[in-house]
Amino acid sequence: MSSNRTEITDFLSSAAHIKGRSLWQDARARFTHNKAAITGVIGLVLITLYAILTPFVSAYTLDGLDYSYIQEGPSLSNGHWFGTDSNGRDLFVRTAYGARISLLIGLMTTAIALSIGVFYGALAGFLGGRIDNIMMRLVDMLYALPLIFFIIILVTIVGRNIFLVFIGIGAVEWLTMARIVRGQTLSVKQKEYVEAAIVAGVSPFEIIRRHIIPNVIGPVIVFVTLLIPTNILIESYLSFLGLGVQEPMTSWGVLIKQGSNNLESMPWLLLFPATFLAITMFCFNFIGDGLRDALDPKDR
Amino acid sequence: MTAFIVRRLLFAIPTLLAVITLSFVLMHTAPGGPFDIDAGLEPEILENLKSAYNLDKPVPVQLLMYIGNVLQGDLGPSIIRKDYTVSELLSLGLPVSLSLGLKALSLALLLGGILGTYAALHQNSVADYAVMTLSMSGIAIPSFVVAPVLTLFFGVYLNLLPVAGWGDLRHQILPVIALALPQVAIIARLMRSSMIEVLRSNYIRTAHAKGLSPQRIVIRHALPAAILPVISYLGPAIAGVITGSVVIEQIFELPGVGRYFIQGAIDRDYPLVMGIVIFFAGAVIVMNLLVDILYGFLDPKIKVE
Repeated sequence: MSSNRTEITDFLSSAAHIKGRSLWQDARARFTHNKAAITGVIGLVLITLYAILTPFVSAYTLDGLDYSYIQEGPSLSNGHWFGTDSNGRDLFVRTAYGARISLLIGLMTTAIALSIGVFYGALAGFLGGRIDNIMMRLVDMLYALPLIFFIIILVTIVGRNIFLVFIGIGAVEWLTMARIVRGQTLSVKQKEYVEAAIVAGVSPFEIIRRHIIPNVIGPVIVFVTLLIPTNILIESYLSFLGLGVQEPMTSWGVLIKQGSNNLESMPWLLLFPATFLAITMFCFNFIGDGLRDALDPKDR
Repeated sequence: MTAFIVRRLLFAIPTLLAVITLSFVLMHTAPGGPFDIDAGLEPEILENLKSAYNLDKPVPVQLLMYIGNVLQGDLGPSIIRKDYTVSELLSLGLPVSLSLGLKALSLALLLGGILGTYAALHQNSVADYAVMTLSMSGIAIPSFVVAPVLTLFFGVYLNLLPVAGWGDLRHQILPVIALALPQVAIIARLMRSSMIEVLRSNYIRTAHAKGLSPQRIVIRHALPAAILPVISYLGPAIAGVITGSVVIEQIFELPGVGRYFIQGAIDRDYPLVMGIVIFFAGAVIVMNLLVDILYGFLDPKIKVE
């Protein structure tokens, strides 16, 4: 009996040295081995640095006019690396400011959609039953609509300022998030370990924190990385129509609009902002795909 | 099946009511109105104008009156384009928008389907990588960048096609391509991955073992199963084409519903904006229903009850 016990304690103490790998460590390993995803991360870091640092470093400003170089093409020698527009404004600096606004809008709108979606979905899934049914019917209803019309109504009629663009896009893009979170919550809620926690008298708040959130967070992270580029695109779309960001502020959509109006005479005005927008889309999509593979290996 | 269709159509009624209420209240409670541009109007005239369009009544009353009119098929007059009713404007814009949208959707299905299938059959070949690159670019480069570039090349440099306006079929080529490209990209990607999966399944191996020709296997056996994800993507694709058409109509100066919508929203032409929103909501609901019915027919595993 006693020898048996020492055997077990010996075994257990030696086992304590074997470090297990958590799901998150596994996921991180899978993600860092994904070349496309890592390229995406590096690309985004570079674009973010460009957006943040350029205005501090550059000799030119957002709306500073350089009369000696008007409608100049890109050139390394005169300091206007991306060229200038018909007012002599430096495109390198303007694209950086556009990046600031576009990225900020992408992040802010996604944050709004994330908060509404997670709250709504978790509530519906947790409450269940008839309330869940009504709540999700409402989502189905909204889902059936081309939501861009609501955003356009919101930004044109209620007023054109940048915060409305935030709220408008965010208030409309939370539906899928709510569906994901609700489905995930419903399935986790029925798991035995949650039942066990309920029986053990764990508070609902603690159950949500310990069991529901960790299970829901994977798909949510993947969806968030794919929602950010979608929202950046929506903002550019609105700004292209003249309904989003207004001069003198700028965004990639505003710059693309200017570029497409002057495409024949000054092609660089479209080329640079559009390239930055496209690279950003690529980066986020690569990261999103990488995260999906890393966090949900069965869905490959 | 009939019960399913009836139930879905019944569900469409509260959906449409919600849409009407939401957009109506949103517009009418916002400060400002359609007569802001006529600055310097006498207050009495302004009052008369407002009462002519019932804008002097409380919003809930206006909403109920509006819903009553819509139920009778009356979308009201346009406030800004005074010679037209909303229905007349819709009937002017719809042929343009529908013809663009349907052509773009068909092109996207056809081209996306073919490219995706070809890439799946030649997995990891140069052609496969080319299709995947094209598909990634189609997703990353928005149509409002593609459209001006297409115009510059085919319209200005090569002088092959008109750059804007509406007339014969040649006016439609560039807008349709610009509108279809993002959907081609997504459909090609969907088609490729589902085709690859289907080609790995047992019944395809059986078909090979029976000695059927490769063409017959792909067309008769693999395609019906592989196309299902594409069919279920049709709903979002339609919404995407509608969204895209707003900006494409703006770029190519086409007299479609999307332009009326933007102009109406800027002018605060309430009845016009409402009419277009109702129409598109209805169209999307009906299209989604059609897609679901089609899906029920194509997928033997799903029984629509």
